[in-house]
This record gives sequence, C-alpha cells and structure tokens, in this order.
Amino acid sequence: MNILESVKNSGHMIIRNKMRSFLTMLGIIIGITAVMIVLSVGESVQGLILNEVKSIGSNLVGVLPGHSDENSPPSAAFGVVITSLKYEDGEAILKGNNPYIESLAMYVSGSDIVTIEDNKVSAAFYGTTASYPDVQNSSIEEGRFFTKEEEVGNARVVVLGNQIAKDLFGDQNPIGMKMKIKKSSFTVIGIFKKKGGSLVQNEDGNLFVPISTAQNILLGINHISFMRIKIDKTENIDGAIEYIKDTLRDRHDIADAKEDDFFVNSTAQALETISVITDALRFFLAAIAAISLIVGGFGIMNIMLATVQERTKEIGLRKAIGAKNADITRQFLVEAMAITFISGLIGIIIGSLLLVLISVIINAMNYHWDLIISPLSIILGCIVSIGIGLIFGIAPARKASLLNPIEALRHE
Amino acid sequence: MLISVKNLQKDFVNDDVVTSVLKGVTFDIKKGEFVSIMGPSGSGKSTLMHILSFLDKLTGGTYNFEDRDVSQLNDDELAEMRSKKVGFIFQSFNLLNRSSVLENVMLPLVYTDTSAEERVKKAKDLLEKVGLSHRLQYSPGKLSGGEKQRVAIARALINDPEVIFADEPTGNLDSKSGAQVMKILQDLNDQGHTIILVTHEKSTAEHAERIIRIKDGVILEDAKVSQRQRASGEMLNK
Repeated sequence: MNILESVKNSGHMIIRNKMRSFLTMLGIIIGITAVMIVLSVGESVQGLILNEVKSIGSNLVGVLPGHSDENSPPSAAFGVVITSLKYEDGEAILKGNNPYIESLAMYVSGSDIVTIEDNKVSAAFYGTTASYPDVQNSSIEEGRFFTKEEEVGNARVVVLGNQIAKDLFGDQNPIGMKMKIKKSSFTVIGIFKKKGGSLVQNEDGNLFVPISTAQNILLGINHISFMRIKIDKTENIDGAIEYIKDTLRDRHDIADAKEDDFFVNSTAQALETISVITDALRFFLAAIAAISLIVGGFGIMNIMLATVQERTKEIGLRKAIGAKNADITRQFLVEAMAITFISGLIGIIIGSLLLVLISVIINAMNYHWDLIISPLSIILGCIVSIGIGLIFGIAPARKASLLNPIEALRHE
Repeated sequence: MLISVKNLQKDFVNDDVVTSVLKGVTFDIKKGEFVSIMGPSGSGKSTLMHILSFLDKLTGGTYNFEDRDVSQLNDDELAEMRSKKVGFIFQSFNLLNRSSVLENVMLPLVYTDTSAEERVKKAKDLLEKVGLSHRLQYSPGKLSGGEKQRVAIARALINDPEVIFADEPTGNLDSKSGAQVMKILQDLNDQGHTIILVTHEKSTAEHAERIIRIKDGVILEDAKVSQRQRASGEMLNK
C-alpha cells in the first residue's frame, strides 16, 4: 500500500465532501494558525523591545507622579492627572551632583490646534528641557534645539519632529518660519533627524517647545508630567534610583516609602512589562491552539469513523484481495495524517498571511516590527498536524482493520 | 492435490446458540478443474467458498491447500494466501468507483511487491484479454454490468492465482453479458486455470465440468457434468 495512494484517497474524500471536510479541518487550521503566530510573534516582540532599548537607551530612569506598589503601574500611566511632580523636583535632583546622573529631562505634554498661514491641524506637543536631545539620544537634522535660557524663559520657539515637519511644511525649509500653537505664535528653530517609531514616544510626529512655555502659555499648569534621567552606566541604575527617591522624599516630606507620591523605574523594567503583556497574549494564543487542535483532532476522528463506515465494502474487498490488517490500518492512518497535514499547511499559510498583515499594520503605525516567520513554527506546525492525524486516526484505522472481510463485503 | 477437504465443519456461535452451517463435507479439487458448488440460499455454499478462499476459518475437519494445512495459518498468512493464491469475482463486482478501470485491476498488486511498471503492464495485458483496453481510464461507474464483471475478472487474474473463485458472477447481469462472462471463465479453464463457481442456478452451474450439490451443510451429490448438459447450459445462457 503506498502512501501516495492514501494521500490521493484523502484528497478525493476532501473534494467529495467539501463542506464536511472543511468543517472538520477548521479546528486543525485554527490551531496551527495559532501555533504559527505564537511562535513567530515572540521573536518579533523581542526585536521590538531590543529596538526600543537601542533607540532610547537601556540606562534611562523614568519618574512618574503618583504612588505605585510592586504589583501595579502608577495611576499616571492610565492618564490620571497627578500634580505632585514639579519642575523644581528635577532641578533638585540635578543639584545634588550625583555622580551617576548624566542628564535629566522633564516633560509636559498636550495637543492643540496648530496654524500655519491658514492651515489648521491638530498636533501633539511636548514641553521639555534643553537636555532632551542628550537624554533621548536624539539629534538635530537642521537648525538647533532650544537653550537653557529658552527653556526657562517662556521662549516661543519650536523644534519639529522629522515627520511632522514634512506634513506641515512639505518641501519648504521650515527653519525660521512662523507657526501658531493654540493662539500663540512660535518660530521654528530646528528639525529632528528621523528616529522611527517607539512605544515610549513617537518623536517624529511631535512638536517640542520649552517646558516653561508649555506650562505657562499653552497649558496653564505648574506641574510636570514625568522626567527621564540618563544614568552613566547600567550597573549604577539601582544606586541612582535610590538617590532620586531619597531626594524626592526629602523634598516632599515623605517619611515612609508607602507614602510616595512618585514612582521611579528604569526603561528595562518598563520594557519587561511589555514582555509580560505579550507573554500573556502568547499564553492565551497557545491555549487556543491547544484547544483547537484537540477539538480538531476529535473532528478528524469523527470523519475518519464516518469514512470507515462508508467504505466498509471497500475494506472488505481490499482484505479479500490480500490486504493484511496492518495494510488497512496504515491506509486509514495515512489518510487521517494527510487530512491533518493538509489542514496544517492551510494553517501555516493563513498564519503566515496574518503575520504579514500584523507586520504591515504595526509598521504602518510607525513602530519597529520585524516580519519573522519562524522556520521552527513551520516545522512544528507540520509535525503537530501530522501528529494529530496519527493520534486521532489510530482508533478509526484500527476499527477498519478489524472488520470481518465477509461481513464487510456484504455491507451495503 | 490442489484442494483437499475432509469432514469440513463450520459452526457459527451467536449468543450461545450454535448453528452448524457445514456438517462435514469431503471432496478434492485437482489443479485445472472447473467445479460448481451449487445449492439454495442457506445451504452453506457461500460459507464453504469463504473457507476455501481463506476468508473464513473452519471449526472442524481438515482443509489442505497444496498440501498445506490451512487451519494452522494465522490472519496474516491467510491474507498472504488470498493475495497470492486466489482471485475473486463477486456478484456485485466490488469495483472502486473513484479509481480508474486500470487502477482497479492493479489493486491486488498493491499488496505484493510488484513494481509500478510491471503492475501497469500486467493490468493492461489483462484488460486487453477481456476486451476492455479502450476503457483504461474510465471510472467503473460508467461501464455496463458486463464490462464491470470483465474488469473484475481481469482483477482476479492479475496475481496469477491458483484458483479463481466466482461467487454468482452472472447474478447481476443480463443473459447476454452473463453468457459472455461464462464464456471467459470457460476459456480461462481451457487455458488451465482452476475455477470454483458458486451459484444457485443449475444453468450457470452446468458450465462447469463437475457440480458439487450442497444442501443444509452436507453434500447431496458430487458429479461430472456430461458434455450434453454443458452444451445445454451454454445454450440457456445465450
């Protein structure tokens, strides 16, 4: 009994009962699709995180307002406005001359109508400090970033992200041009180099103004949203965090860490939470894969039992002309495996298409996402699908092989 | 001796009820004979054929095939015997409709170690012999009854069997096709093939040289068929 004939038989079976076969195969197809995505997305997420670390540096520490304990992120992460962090807090941290701290940037953010001549668009802006390019590893393509004097002096100057400069000014050189944010007029003094997307901050699409200008003229607030602090070496991060916490507790008159009205963490920790989320997602997908494959397996078993029933007479004939029990078992096992393998291939194709789609969408959102279709996932998809056929095909195949040839031949 | 049966018995046990289908039959069949096993339904003729063709096991007596004790064979050895020693022609043809005529004829060789080229060559030769070489790629579903049975005969011959078992081979055929099939069987017998025909019809049985008449599990008569009877049998089928 050759394998080719069994594969051909299963092909016939699928074609003859298209709807029935499709429904049976669906479980395996979904399962293998999920397997593909689970295995491939993991590598892409690793790439995404590495890229984040590369673009913003792994030696950054963030300070957010509001309390946070071990188990949950600070409320500020959910968009709750907390005003406990002030510009002076950042200044105080810098004044301590801690040897680990290289530079510190503070941020407020908002969005408003931007007017260029008569064009009005909505844009997001950051008010930040002159230290921003150093902390964020950003470089200026044209013009300059604002100075310390401008940072504190409510200067009406603006630096543009690479993309928004193109969107707002097209081919014109924006340096020296005037634009209005809200009702105030600003002069464009610089454009950033293109940086690419990042989960933490999309620099290319933002406007950057001095923090005093943003607080006093655009937002009317006196707190800051967060700060980022650049540490000289990764090993010194823990030490620097302790120093930062001490300084802030001192300034805020906090005796007990439980009373903290701020939250300090490193980029590395922040990125770990991304891994935790994607790991949870992968676990969920893996569960879907397992359930689909098991349900799909029973579907295969069911259709194979139906096939054995339908082809009882054929089995009788095959036995009469010399098939041994093992030949019959093998025939139906190979048929079951061929069906699950074909399902697996469809799953691999759909999974790959979905991965391409995910990559296209995420890249269109300007994030870094490598399209990785892991060879391991393809190999595993094939092995798993064939394995399901083997496991769930055994019972029907054995049933077929044990049929009494005389009764089978009489079967109508 | 090709087939030697002594005091052959077959009992079926169903819910502790024992039914004796064959109650001790004894006969020999020589190589090259054309024998009909004739009897009404329920006589045990089909069971006898199943045992002779290694599809079923006997419960008493002895059955020697080419001096080999068949009762000692296990399932795989019986399958091997079916594969190498016998060919089947069934009343309902038993062709696989989703395979071509050629594939149907080659099917028994799937269970032997015959090369693909040789399978095709043998099958084509045999289909030529039964006059169906123009139907190689047809689905059996598109053939007439007589053509189907000729495909089945080609299939029965493909493994060069020692014995061809024909179980009511004309039962589903019109008289013209039936006569054609019987003619082919007689030709095969003339070429030296041993044929065992199972039927309830006297006219069909009389195509053989010898008729074993069986009823209620015992042999009523085991006799040569006269030339005159054989001829008239042929006449009836024309």
